[in-house]
Amino acid sequence: MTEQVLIKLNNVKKVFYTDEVETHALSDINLAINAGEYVSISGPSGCGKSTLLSVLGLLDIATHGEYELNGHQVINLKNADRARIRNKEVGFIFQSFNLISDLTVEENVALPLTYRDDYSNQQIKDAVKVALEKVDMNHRGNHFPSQLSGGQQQRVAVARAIAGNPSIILADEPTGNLDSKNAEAVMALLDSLHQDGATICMVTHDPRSAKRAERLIEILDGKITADNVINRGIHAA
Amino acid sequence: MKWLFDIKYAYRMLLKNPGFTSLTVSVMAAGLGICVFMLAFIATVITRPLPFEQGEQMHVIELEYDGMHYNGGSIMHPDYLTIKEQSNSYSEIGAYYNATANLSNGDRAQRYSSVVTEANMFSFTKTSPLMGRDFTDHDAMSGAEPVTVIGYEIWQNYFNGDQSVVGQSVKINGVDTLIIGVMPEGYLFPVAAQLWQPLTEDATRVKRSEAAHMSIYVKKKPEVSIEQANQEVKDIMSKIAQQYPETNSKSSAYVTTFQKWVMGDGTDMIIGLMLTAVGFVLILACVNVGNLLFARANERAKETAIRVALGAPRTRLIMQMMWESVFICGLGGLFGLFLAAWSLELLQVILPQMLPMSVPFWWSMSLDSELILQSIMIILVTALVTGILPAWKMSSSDFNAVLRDGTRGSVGKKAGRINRFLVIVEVALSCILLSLSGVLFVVLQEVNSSNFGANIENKLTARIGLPQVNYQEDSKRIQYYQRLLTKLSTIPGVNSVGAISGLPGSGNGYLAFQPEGYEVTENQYPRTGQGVTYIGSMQAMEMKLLEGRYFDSRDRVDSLPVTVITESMATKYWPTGSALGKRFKYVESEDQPWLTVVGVVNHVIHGQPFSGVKHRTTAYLPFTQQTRRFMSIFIDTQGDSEQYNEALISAVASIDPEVPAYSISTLTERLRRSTGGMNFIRDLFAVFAACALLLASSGIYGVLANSTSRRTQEIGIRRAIGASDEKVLSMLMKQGWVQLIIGLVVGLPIGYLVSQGVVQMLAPETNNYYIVFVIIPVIISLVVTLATFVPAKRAIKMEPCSALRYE
Repeated sequence: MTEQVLIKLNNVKKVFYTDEVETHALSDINLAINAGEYVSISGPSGCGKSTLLSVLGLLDIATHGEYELNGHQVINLKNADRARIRNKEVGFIFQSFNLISDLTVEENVALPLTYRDDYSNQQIKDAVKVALEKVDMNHRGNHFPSQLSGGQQQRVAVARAIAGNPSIILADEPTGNLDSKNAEAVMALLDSLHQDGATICMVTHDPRSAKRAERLIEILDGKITADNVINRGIHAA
Repeated sequence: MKWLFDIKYAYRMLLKNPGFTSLTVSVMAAGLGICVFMLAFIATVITRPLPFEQGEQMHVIELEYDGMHYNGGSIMHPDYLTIKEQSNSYSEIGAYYNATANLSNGDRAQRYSSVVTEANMFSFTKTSPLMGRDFTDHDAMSGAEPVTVIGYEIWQNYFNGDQSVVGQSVKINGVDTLIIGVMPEGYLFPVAAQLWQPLTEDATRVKRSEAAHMSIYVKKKPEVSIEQANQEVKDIMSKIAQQYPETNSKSSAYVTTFQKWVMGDGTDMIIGLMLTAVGFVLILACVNVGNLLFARANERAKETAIRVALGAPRTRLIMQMMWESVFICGLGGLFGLFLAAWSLELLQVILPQMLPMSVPFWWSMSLDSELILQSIMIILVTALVTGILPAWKMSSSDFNAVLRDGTRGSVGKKAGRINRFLVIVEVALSCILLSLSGVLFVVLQEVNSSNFGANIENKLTARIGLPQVNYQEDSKRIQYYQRLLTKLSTIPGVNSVGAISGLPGSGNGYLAFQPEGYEVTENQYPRTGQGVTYIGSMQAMEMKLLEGRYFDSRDRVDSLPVTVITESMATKYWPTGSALGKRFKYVESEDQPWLTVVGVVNHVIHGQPFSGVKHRTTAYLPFTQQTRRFMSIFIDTQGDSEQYNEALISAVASIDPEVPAYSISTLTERLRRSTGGMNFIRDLFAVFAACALLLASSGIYGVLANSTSRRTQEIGIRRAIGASDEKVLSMLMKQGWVQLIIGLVVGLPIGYLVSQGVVQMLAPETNNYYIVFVIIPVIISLVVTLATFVPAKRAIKMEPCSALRYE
């Protein structure tokens, strides 16, 4: 069976220019991620892993190189197109949860779907219900984030990321703000999503979390220094 | 339907921050309320067409003399006939003059405002009488039976709504007159008429100099522009002036709307100033709310970044912010509309007490559907203006930086710059408005405290109009006033009495004259006011005699025609030596006698004490040599003059029951009313300025409080490394002062230039107003300092460790 390439980066560079100083955050990144893969990106602080995740999630634009997402070149898209693709193809999970405090759990999960034209209100309701059930948070739908624990908030963030059935879930230090118990619960949730076929790309500097992925990519000074398949098939049902 | 998601969120955010919401809604309510009020006021007095069919085509033709516009029945009857014959710009034309009607049914006399008009006036307005009929051509024929159409108010008040009033005969100015009709309620055309009589004068049978002076009402053809109509009437008047240079040398005419005609010259400038002021207040409100929304949007940078990360389209992001401004402006606009409607109702009640004239019938201060529509448009525009900048700015911010490190990234820096700019705008705008208001206040204080050249205290005044039919001869008029003044002087508590054609502060005839030996080229005669006084009246009014004598018993009908002139006239026309013994004559007609100056009194202001009128010279003639039917009487009283009202009315009625006293008021009240219009404008500007100051201070406070709050961590760091409270306080105060200084540097010169228009119009010779440009910066500085100090003080009250942890 031929594996479908979901993400393909060729010679991607990212340079930040500030006050006549050039910072090379990413240098000559070549990377391919297949559909259904569970990839972990790790490295020390400031190595460029979060920048790579931003480029992958179309939150940032590469200074140079090519980026193909789900078969489409996305490097030179307009902002509106990037927003549309980000909304449809990418689900984000952030370290600090990034839930909107004045929206309820249900509204937070529904938020990305309200930006889509192909979802009716009923479809949004149904998708929110399914997503919250997956993370076991449907009983807290009317609560506000401040009424939830950190672990619960991150589960809601996961629900928001998966509600629109994205091609890939990008997780940026998803357990960074959690205690070990909640961290384990969230990682288990990601494992479960992967078992259901989700493609996950996770940035982490926690070796325990990194080892749960099938493929471990290491970055140092903006360059990929290692790319190893470590647990292929471990999460298969 | 997905918009509902954003609307619901905006609504929730506003409910969550009641302080912010009430502040911004109040600010918009004030700004929009003032704006709507002003638009309604201008629409009522200037722009709204008269409430008749083809009201937008109804205009007036009036006299223009030596470039100055007159607005009170000044075109000679024969000139009107020529205009009527030669003009092609109008579908209908007619003429009238204002008069007073002493109406008497035998039991009591009452004075009303009447117009003597051509028979077509009612058909011109397409209004039929409520009862009876209107005028026919037969009624307007010379020698026809005198008839009148009365107004609704007379019918209700004088005749108690008597259904059989039509056909009754009453005496009007002593003449038996048949009531032929009653006009509907509210009909007061052309301005504030209460009774109408047909014009029966045949202009072809009287000398030009003795012809009645008229106001001309016209219905302009729709295809003719006002400029074309103006040109046509000027051409016609130019031909008449060539034919009759002695009466028409500097005379021309102009076409204008009824509304502008009533408001007089200078209206455009005042309205322009008012609109500018209102515009400034509205801009201030928008800047204020926009600035607060901007600061708030900045606080919510992270939320916006999350939305962006989740793929929110830019339009949705912009609309997300816009909904809040739509709510704020919508709610503010609603309150503003209520505020404006209430203020207009209040104004409608107090206006008659403020103005020297009767309120024109079209001054119905209210909001109509057109104004409400305009208001909704303004509300939408303000929502757009206040919301678009924060929305656009936030939707284009560096969301990646916010998501990455949780800071506000570059937004904080840019937002600070925009905030500072908006504060400068607020300071400058409030400075301009306060300057304008301050100058208006100072100038009108000076105008209000003008020395009228007479003692205006404790004087009760009234107008008397003797009916022509009963008081045709001079001797009867002299006898009447002699008896009346004698009677008035017997009222207990009355110190002295007098009669004068025009009281100080009231208008006098302003006539062309020729001083003896004064060279006049091409009929370019100078003009002077002409007042007539009864013997003893100048002394009673305490006009100070500077040279010669007052009028006395020597000044009889058959003695040498004499005059007492004001000091201003003496120094203007006889600057070297004494004016006593000098002669001049009025040139309105050929039979005017030479008048010899026998006395000089101090300068007396007749008319409103503004610029040009204030310095007009006056010559007084003795009543015995120049009788008048219409005079103002006055009594100098001990204590409160108003207590003598009844006594004055009784005294007048006891001399001739058919001659009532009218326009009874104290002289101070009369003078207050004469400047009432300008004082009203001053008060309006004071409200605008107060609003501007309030808006600016709240806006500046909001912005500085926000920017200080954003710097809490920075303040904590500074203090942690040893900065004293004084140093931190001074650093924070400086940020407010820099904006204050820039705002003042921009606002003060503009304020000075704008206020020059007011100074030139009202009192060009005054220079007291310079103090305003010292006081205003001090006031604004105090407000800005306070608005900066409060949040700064709050910031340094926080313990450094708390400040360092602050988010």
